[in-house]
Amino acid sequence: MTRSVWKGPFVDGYLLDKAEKAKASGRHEVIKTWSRRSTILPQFVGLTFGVYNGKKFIPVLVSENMIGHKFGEFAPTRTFNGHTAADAKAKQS
Amino acid sequence: MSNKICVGQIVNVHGIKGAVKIRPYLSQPMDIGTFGRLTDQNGNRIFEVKAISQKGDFVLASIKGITDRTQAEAVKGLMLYANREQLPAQSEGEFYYCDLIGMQVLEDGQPFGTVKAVQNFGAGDILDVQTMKGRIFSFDFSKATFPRIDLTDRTMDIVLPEGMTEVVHES
Repeated sequence: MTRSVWKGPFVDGYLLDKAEKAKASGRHEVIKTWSRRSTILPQFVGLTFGVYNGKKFIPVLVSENMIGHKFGEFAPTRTFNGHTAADAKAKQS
Repeated sequence: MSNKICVGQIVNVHGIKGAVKIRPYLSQPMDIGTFGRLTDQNGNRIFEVKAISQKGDFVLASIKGITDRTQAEAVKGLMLYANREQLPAQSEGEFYYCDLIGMQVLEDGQPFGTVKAVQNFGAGDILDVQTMKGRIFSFDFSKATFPRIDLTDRTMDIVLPEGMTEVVHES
């Protein structure tokens, strides 16, 4: 068994508590976090986290296919100044 | 607000029969040929573009009335624009970025800010809203946060999610 498997995923403890509270309250809420290193766990699905990118909080709505990734992957720290597609569409979740 | 949208740029010429190389700013590059009539920025010149083939991110195309390399070189560097009405209709709950950008955001009927950009980093669409004080905040593009979007008067309502309220109002 590899070391990374027996150690399990890393999540900052306080984030678990915050997520639990938010889930219990059922309110429209953004859980602010600076913990970009934390792994996304199945119990986070459906919650919205505000992941700090060094400047502002990027909203990350957790879906099932994000499990196992880190929060930081969804909040880039660098600005992309390219040309977006003229026919790009945004879908309201 | 201008209803012209930049859909591509003529970046080079190709061959001796007037073909051009276009960099399309579209999700499907070959769609550049489906618009029929495109214009320059001022709308003075009309181009009927026919896509020939795709080469990577670029499209080789012919333009009606341009038949030799010299004519093609004269339009090199030109940006191609389409009217907003030429874009295909979107389905329920979908909005073009160009429609959202510049929209006024209202909080409890009072001006809150303007949509500056739409982003997607893999966790759903995000609206960057510049507040009246000039600071930019990101909000998830959900029905809970933006319950009303009116494309005709270009306004939308915002309900600040808990956790963001104090961040926004303190700054």
